[in-house]
Amino acid sequence: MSLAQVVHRMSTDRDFAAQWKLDPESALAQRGFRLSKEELDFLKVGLKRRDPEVDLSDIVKKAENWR
Amino acid sequence: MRLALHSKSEGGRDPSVWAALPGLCCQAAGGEAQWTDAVAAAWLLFYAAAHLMDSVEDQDEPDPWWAMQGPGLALNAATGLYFSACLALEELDDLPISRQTQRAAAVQVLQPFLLMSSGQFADFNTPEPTLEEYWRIASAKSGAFFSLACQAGARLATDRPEVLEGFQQFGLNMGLLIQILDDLGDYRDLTEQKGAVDARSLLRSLPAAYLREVCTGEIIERFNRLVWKAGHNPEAAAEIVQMIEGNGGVLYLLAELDKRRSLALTGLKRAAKPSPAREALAALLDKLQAPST
Repeated sequence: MSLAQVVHRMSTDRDFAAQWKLDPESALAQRGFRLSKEELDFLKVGLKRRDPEVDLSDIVKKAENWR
Repeated sequence: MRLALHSKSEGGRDPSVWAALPGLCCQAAGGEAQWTDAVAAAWLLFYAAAHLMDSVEDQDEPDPWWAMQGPGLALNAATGLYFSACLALEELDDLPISRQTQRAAAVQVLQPFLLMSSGQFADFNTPEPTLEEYWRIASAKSGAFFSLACQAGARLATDRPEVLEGFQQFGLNMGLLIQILDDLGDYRDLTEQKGAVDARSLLRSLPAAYLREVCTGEIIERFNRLVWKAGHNPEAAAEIVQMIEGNGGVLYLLAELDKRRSLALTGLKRAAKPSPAREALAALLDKLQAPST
């Protein structure tokens, strides 16, 4: 479950987070993490394009009919 | 049984939103949408039955129509729905397709429900799933449910393995996307402190499984204690939210949402050439989750 471990490190480990910003692939390789293309794409690119103030309510409301 | 089907659109998922799925997959695979009427009907009837059984097994709050008489009435209705679903599949005989294709489509509908039953069994016996267990159960339940609709619809149009595998991937990941959104909705209710917190659901949820994956035993024990207090203690609820968010739980959910959407689209592109039906299927995904890239 590398994605969970990487996300946790990004959220709680300042050194990892700083290294991730400079060179995500190295940050992963040094700690033996491997991410799929989709996971890496989101964490490298998708995260930057999101509004930092993520509103969970908007995400959930959109899918209300499906729940 | 009318009440059982009706309650699905009120307290549960709205079948009218998904009913087009088998037809669109059939069309995208080169067939005619109306060929899937029997498959779509059976799929929705099986779902209504399975959901009733789940509610009884999980001892959920009963729907009004069976609250007085108890679970026996719900099980009786579920039985009727199951047999109705089987009868619906008999309508495949009227289609202008080979007997072999009719049988294959019927099996495509029936077989996954065995997987879904095993998923429910695992869910029943795993009150605090690890992250790996969470995904295995979700794939066997929600993932299998949507995957079967897509594959069964497509199977009426083609038997090409790469097409069926593509629709399987599309449906599986759409199902997982919906499961994540379900958990996210419960989490949102927790953050907004709307109504009672279902401790059992929260312990089974993706945020909880995530914490078990990344946090120390001490934090997990604290979380488990707080969960049973959160329903009547706003401070406990607030601390749970802080634990999840402080450890990257929300980011993880967002990453998984994006990943499942990408995987669903990849499957769709493998399965079908560009067409109005394929675009309609992609649009269904957009209704669930906007792209981040």
